[in-house]
Amino acid sequence: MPLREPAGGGFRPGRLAGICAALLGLLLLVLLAGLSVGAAPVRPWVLLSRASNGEEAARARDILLGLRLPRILLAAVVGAALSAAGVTFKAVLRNPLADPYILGVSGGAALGAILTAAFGAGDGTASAAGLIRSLFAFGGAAGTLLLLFALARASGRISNTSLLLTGAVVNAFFSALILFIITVVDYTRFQSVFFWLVGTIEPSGYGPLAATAACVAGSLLGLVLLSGRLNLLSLGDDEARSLGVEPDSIKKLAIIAASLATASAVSMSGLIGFVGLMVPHATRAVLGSDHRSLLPAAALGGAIFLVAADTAARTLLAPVEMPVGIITAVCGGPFFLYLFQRRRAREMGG
Amino acid sequence: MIRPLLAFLSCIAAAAASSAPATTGPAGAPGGPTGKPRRIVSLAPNLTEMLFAIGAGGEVAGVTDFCDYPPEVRHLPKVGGFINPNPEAVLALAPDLVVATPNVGNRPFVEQLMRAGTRVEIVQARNLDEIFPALEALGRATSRESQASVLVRRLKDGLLSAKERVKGLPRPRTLLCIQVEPLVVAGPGSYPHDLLTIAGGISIVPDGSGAYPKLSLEEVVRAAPDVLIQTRMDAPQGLEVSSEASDSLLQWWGRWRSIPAVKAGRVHAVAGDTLLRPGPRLLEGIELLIRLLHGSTVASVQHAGQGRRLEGCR
Repeated sequence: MPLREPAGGGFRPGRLAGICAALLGLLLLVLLAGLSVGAAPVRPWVLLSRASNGEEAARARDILLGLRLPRILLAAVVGAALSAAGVTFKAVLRNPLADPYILGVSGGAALGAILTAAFGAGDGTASAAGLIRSLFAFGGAAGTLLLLFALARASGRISNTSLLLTGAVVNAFFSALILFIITVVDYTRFQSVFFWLVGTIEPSGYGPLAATAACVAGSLLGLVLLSGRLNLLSLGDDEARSLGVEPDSIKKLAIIAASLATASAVSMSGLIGFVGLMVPHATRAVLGSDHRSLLPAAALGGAIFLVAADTAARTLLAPVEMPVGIITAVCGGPFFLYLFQRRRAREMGG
Repeated sequence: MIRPLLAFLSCIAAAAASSAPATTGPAGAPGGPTGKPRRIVSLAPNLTEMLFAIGAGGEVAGVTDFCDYPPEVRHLPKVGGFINPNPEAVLALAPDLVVATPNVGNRPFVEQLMRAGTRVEIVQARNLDEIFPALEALGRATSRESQASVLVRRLKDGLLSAKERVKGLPRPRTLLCIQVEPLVVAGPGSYPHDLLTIAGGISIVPDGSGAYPKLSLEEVVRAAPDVLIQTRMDAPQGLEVSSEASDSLLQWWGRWRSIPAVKAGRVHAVAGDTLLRPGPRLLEGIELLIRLLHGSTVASVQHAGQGRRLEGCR
């Protein structure tokens, strides 16, 4: 059981407020740092210091407000979405290794998004196309999760090994379908799709950013409202029922919200892995396992982490950029192996 | 839409494959005729163009899916992709000469062909300088040495006169963009970069970025190019580009108004094949660039057999 303390024990709203304030402060710092560095040596205070005029100022505005700001904000939104989805999947599947990427839920969303290209929709920057793409991505994510959910329910509590195996198989299957669609439909986009499959945050317009932020905010709100009842899920279905809660309805709501968050993130930035694994675990190690504090804190932590990772992705090799998915995987791969080993040792030791 | 990518892939893959064997086919391989080949299969679009340019087009029996120039190759049998030609399709054509360019994918296949006794000519043409020896090698392989050397002389003369014409002209700072989202551009060491230099432009891509880097858009805004040339892979020679697609590309760039090229309306969407494919149409590529870079200050020189160009200017 991932729980260390009984559900509901030791939860103090004041403490949560303090934690969230501290994390928000840290997020603002990271955002400011992200806004301050990049391929071009332009600092944000340029906008404040001189009366903005001339070509230099116009260039600084394009770089800071047109490129960096929407990009770091998107990184924050995507990071929060993936991390909150990670927390939710761990609770619903009662498995600490659950994560949107490892489970193949991101892959399902990616397949959905790519399918829109196959039908000639969802391509380009038009907002209607973006909406269709997000809807398909949502369908892919929710479908994958329902499949995993059914498997988990059939076997009571799904074991680590079978969960990971299922996720790997689902991922491989979806990757094959995605590559098939690209090969048949639109080979010219091969490279774009490659970057997207690795996970990359591109400077977007403010319109798509606002739409994504709205979807993610909605699903985060739903998850926070559910967070008290997510605690009960970790007790097991029978225990939850005896406390007067119908576990299946909680799970369904949580799955819908987490799928929406995952799909919004994936349709904007592709398959960024391990955020939903690392950040929830780090947060849990510090704050304990009460979902009422874990969920908001992990969402903020995910935002902080992905803004930092994307800042690294855009500056390490500047002026050349790399996909942020490389950074998160380089951090997350070893972390995952460590976690897996530790749990296996614990399970075998009894 | 499979064909157009080739122009780009041919550059990338060839550049990535410098470790591939630089040997030429076994001279007088067992069973292979040593004389003039009569059934040639080309495994690269730029080699196909070269074969036709030296007058060996009549002997070409098969080409890749990506070969689209000159127009008559579209009716020839296709033997599969550029990275992954289909061995059965090649052998079914009973070629007495296969010409290939080393790339990441075709090495095992080419070695298999050579072991089977098929005469294979491996020709490397990744950049401007390699085009001339490549033409000469194909001339020798097809017994058309004189045509090849006439063509090489004509192309070299054309290069000299192009350099002469742009001498003393202002050198606009230029970005040659392959695609957006993600932004991939032609950098130092790439064929388009070579053409840009000859045409009197200065690339804004920093040295050491690689031949086709994924460049930071910030860097583009900072470097403030005077001219922005956006190649369109889905607008190959002879195919109409939808103006809608060009418009959306130009709109994409139009968001960054501080870029001088955007402000001055010097963002151009052009068909990519002559700029991306290292082949005998290099003077057409240079001519296109000269026109975009220097406009009416330079008298245009028409070359025989020049294809239609697609261009959308803001």
